[in-house]
Amino acid sequence: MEDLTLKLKEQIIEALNLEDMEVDEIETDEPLFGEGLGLDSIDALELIVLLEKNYGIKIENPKDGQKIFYSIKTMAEYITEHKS
Amino acid sequence: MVYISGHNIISSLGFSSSENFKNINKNITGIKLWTDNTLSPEPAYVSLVNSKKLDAGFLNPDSFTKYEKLLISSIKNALKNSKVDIKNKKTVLIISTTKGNINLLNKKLNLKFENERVQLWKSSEIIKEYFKNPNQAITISNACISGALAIIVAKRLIDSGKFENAIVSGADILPEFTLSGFQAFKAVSDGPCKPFDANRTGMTPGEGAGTVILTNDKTKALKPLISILGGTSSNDANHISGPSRTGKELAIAISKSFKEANLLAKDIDYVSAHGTATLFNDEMEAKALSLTKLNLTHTNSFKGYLGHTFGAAGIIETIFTINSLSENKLYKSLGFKNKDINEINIISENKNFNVKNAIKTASGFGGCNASLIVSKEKSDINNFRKIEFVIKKKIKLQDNRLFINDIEINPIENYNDLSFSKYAKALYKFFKIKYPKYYKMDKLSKLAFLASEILLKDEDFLKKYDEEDISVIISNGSSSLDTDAEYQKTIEDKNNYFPSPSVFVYTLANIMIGEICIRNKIKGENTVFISKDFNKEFIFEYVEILFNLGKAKVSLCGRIDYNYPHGNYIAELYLIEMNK
Repeated sequence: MEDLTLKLKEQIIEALNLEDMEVDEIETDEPLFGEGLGLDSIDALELIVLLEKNYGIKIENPKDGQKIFYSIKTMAEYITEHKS
Repeated sequence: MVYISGHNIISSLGFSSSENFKNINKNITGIKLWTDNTLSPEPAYVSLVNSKKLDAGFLNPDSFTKYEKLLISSIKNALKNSKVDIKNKKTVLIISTTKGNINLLNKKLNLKFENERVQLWKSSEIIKEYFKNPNQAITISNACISGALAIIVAKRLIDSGKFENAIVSGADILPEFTLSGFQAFKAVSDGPCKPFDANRTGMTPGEGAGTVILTNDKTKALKPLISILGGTSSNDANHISGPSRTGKELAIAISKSFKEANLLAKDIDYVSAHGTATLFNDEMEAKALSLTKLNLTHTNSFKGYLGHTFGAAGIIETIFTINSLSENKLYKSLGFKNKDINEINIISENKNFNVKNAIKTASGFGGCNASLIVSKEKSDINNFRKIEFVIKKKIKLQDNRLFINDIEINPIENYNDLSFSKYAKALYKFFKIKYPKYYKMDKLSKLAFLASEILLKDEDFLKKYDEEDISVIISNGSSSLDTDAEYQKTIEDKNNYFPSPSVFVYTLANIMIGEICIRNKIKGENTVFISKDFNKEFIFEYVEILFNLGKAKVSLCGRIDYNYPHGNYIAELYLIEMNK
């Protein structure tokens, strides 16, 4: 799980061009959207692509993203559960 | 005074205005389920123009692209019923498009055209030469308001005395590029789109062309006399793809057009809305109509008939509006069944109605909005005053060299050896800019953003102006092609097919204006004019027209271009204000 969260943080920094961020600046439990990293709706769509590209997981309804992308932790849990 | 002298529509519903009118009158849609996987791996509801029928109008259909054939056929057909001469020196050709010949980036299609043809200015040149129009063609690429904006620009250029007639033609094709992008945005409806319906599920992409011919000569006008009374653009200054959450900025564009036309909300009989059928767009429009007291006025969207034809939409829908005025008839907003919480007066059945004045609105990516007023009764007052302008400051950022007021300063070491991205980042740090969104921008937006930051640095110059009085008018050459090519790569390989939403969102030239507006809370007029070279006189002249019409009091204007494919770049930006 820890490996996965670290990898996810790296992938998110790369996919979302968070150039000023380091891996250890992203808290595993904190919200990614709103207050946290200040991500927006396009970032959410890019995270959907990230899941599909790197983990083969398809999210059809972008509304489901709200729960899945709440934090690194929720993302990692979802990936562990759904990875094909 | 600017009158309608002719028009044409080419769409999934036919190749002439009358054919389109007939189908709309019968409430027939041109939207169909498309399963051919050359357009998209997943089936999608789209609205397409019959290519074979389009080709039949040409002796050598292979010498033009589909986009060019749409424009040529539409202009030809519109000229047939108009007395305006396209070869006249006082006739200007204005072309609106979002993506032009973008399918030429897809090398797998094996389209045999020179590479340069993918440039928007190049295809406009081809159209101009085809019709032997003596003036430089004006190309407007401003996302989904391009068509409406092209009509507004035409009216202004005629009213200012620069031209007597204008041929305004807009077109877009629907290639895999565009469809995949909107699919990546999860914005495409799973059935024909349902504008303003409570259960709407997104937009329907389409293609088509529309041409409207304008003149200041009453004897060249169509009967009944219909005129364009005013028009305005505005910017949300909120988000590059998501619309305003309040509708306040579309309301600004509507109110300013009322003022120009000397009309009140109660004088407006009909609203031809944008109505894309995405959740947030329609909600924003409903709010804007309430803010401008148009919530009880008959309103429809034509997207349920033709889908979203992008650069053509504003022109096609203005022609439908003209038809409502001349036929005294309002048309059902196809796809609408259930009222939304933000209630406006959506037309649920065709009905006879004396339409004297109507307003057409449009909104698009980059936060842009436009409105224009079409009327068959009132005559407008041409209140052109002569107002001069002064240049307050100038910035030039060109191929890693920086000039402020024509004096070179080079704060970055070894600037000659750096790539644009590295040089830009060094400038960002040197000027101590703190704006994390910067890193998400594409090269064109980074360039525009940096130039505007340096131009406005240490100046609280804009603070003395209302946000709606500040305008951003940009000349550009290669549009967003550098980013377009990057996006194309994400859809090229069918085994590694991951269309990127964060790249796609930058595949419009006017996103750079959106970024500047968000950063500086600018809500006034905004336009991207595409031309091969920087025609500085034209941009200044246009800003002067905005000042004269009271549409702006200050302007950030100039040239911002990131050349494709060479990668050389220029940002020559001026801060201009009215000389009181």
